[in-house]
Amino acid sequence: MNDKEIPPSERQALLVAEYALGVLSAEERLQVEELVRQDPEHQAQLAAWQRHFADWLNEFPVVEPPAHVWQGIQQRLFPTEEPAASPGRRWNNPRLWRWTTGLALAATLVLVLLVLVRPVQVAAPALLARLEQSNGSLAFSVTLQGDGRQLLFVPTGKPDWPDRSAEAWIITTDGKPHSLGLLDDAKGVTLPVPAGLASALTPGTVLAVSLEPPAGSPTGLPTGPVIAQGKIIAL
Amino acid sequence: MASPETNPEPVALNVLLQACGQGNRLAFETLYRVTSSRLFGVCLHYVGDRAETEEVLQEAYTAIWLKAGTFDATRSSALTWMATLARHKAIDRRRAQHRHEPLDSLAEWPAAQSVAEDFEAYRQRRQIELCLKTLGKDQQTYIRVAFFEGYSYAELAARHSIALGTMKSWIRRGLLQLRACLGL
Repeated sequence: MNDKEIPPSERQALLVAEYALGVLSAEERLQVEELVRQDPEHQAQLAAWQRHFADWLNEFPVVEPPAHVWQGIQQRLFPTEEPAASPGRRWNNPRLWRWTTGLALAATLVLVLLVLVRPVQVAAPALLARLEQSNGSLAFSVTLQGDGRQLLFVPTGKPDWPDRSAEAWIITTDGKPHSLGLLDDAKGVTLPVPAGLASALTPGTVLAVSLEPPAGSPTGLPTGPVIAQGKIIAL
Repeated sequence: MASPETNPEPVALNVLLQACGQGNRLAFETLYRVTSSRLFGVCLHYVGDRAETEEVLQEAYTAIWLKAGTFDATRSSALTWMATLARHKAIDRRRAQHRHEPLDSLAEWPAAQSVAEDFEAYRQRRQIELCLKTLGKDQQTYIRVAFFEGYSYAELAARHSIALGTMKSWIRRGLLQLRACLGL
């Protein structure tokens, strides 16, 4: 099919499809990006193509990049800064990457808390907490869902706690832990924010995860080791 | 992407990417932690060489940071947006790698079809797979090959010993049919 055989009405749509498939040259891609920028219809089409093709992309294996890649990115983007000043400095330590090879949980947890104060579609994130312990990989991302009534904990690493349960806690300013519920090491878990605690989800509040018996803490307070904790901060 | 236990919540990623668009470096760092193994896997598939893939991943995240402000969560998910961007970077690198090599050396690449065959189990329930089945055999094959190999029309034609016009025709007709079937 050469260009003459394509109905003029379809040419641009075809370009968008070719862009998504990946057969265009880098120069042609720039042209399509310009085309798409100017036309919401093409924008929507491209997004739809990419969603469909993402089904294929999703099947590529997950491979952990070495730590120096992140350092390289920082140097490219923020070359004039002293790396040690970065809050992520510790993540550059290769030892912190061992979780990817399946080392012990206690050395490897990070918890991210994301709190949205407004509906997701329009809101910028308001709060973020990263909870980590001794080693720097993410173990969960947590978002506030349903207008602040639910917390969604999603494991992002490969935590492993055979025969035990991980229980999430919020530590209120009086120092008391309040259970949020049990987490799952394989999939996201939505936990309701307990009545009266929604107002505690503010910068500075501590969140923690402890290991407990399979049914959760029998006492209502943490009984096992705290494997991750950190503070909510404002984004 | 591949395994449920490492599948971060899409909404969380959207929020992080939007925060990057506002210049939030903590969000960027977090986003990197959560997504880099997925994007590295994508890039590694296309680039092959690990050291080169690391460079491509750096290029990709640099671009992600710089372009984050253009991300539109109402149209795309952050992971799809990022993976697509990374894939394009990887495709460019792959093409540059092989621009001056004799075609024989391309035979060392795993055949894209064998890659595609691995995904048989995932195909059935997907709309794109259902629609792909409505196309002619060659169209099906080379749309898939084009995606998984990441080559231009000319490279695909040379690599598979098919006339350039024929290759273009198969893929273009296939894409237009696919578009109709997908309702785009």
